[in-house]
Amino acid sequence: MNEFFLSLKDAFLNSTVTALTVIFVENTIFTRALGVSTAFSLVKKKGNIFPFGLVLTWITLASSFLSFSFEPTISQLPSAYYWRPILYVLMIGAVYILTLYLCSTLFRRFYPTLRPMIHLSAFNGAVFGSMYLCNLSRYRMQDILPFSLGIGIGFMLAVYLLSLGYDRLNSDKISPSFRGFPIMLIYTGFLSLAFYGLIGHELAF
Amino acid sequence: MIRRFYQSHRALFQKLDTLWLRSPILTKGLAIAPLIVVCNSLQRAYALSLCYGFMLILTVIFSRPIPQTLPYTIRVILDVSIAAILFAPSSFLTELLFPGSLSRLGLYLPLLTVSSLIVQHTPIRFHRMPFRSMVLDLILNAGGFFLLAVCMGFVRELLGRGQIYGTEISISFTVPAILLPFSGFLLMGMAAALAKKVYLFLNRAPKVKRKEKKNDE
Repeated sequence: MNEFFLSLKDAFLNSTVTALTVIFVENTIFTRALGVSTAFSLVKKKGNIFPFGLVLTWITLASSFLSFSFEPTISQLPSAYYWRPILYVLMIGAVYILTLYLCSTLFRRFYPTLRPMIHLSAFNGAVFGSMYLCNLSRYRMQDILPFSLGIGIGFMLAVYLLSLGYDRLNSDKISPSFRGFPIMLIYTGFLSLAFYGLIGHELAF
Repeated sequence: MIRRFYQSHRALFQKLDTLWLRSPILTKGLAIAPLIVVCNSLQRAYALSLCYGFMLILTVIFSRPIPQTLPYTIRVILDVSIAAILFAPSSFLTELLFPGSLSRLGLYLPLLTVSSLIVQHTPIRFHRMPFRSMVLDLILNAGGFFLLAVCMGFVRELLGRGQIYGTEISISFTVPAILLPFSGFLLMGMAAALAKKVYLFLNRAPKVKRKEKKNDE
């Protein structure tokens, strides 16, 4: 019994470390620039950040789980490098349709709000990139959940940080040439520099 | 004089604005991730541009016959599937012309398959245009990506490694930090600001009209 609880404690600690690493040290937006265009479209509406993050987390979890499950088969294919994108796209497509179906049946009240978020998050750089990162980092099955949670929470955190600066950076006090998108990129660059200070080296991709 | 020339030929130049001044990369950040993270040498810039141009143009052309009556979800999945199928020959061609680029570009080359221009703009923009306008717009989008990638790659390789296309150039100092992603964000922000500055200058009302406006106020 003691051993069971000890192994449960170890699993919980490992999961927490994985999730915190993905949220802060390997943040999707600030260290890998995945999903940047989606993030910039979300900063204007702060209320959408949390529901979008939930949708993104679910799609990342399901897609990463599928890519992990089929990776032994995919890696044995001749020229697996060229097969991977189409197979990953089909997996994301299946998750996309399933998510729309589940939302339309289980969350009917929220479906009009969630539908555009599902469209935006399905073929997102963060989701597609996470499927590759799962295999690159050689995660085990039990790491998929904290990894996906880390991607989603890290994305939400990044978008929230960007949205905090958006109102000030989009004001009349900023030069017209820099107002809006250019200054947001520079602001993201400085936040990325701060996150780089946590890592100290370039991440593998 | 330049502004007058631009404004008198506005209809023509507005079509060409996609190349730089109103490039979706510099105005909305579409397909920006590879340029920020991995585009830090001229060879990588050429490899990315070749793969992306090949995939973007052919994907949109081959996905045009897909019926518009199909649900949006199915159309997007088919569009991205076509892009993923075209990834194989485009990346093969890229590796043939620029050996070693597949490993150097990592996941950012396959990531072009799900670029926002292909996923979002194909059904709502490209497929609603007449065929010739669509092809011209695609060529300009690919050209804009190429120009931006080459500028980014050139500056970062020169200042970061002291090289141009792998050839050592004797410069007094290098700044290796420019090769990192955060520098990509900063450089891209500067490029976007420069494009916006030029666009605002070219589209500003002439001085006479501005003086008349001030007098009216």
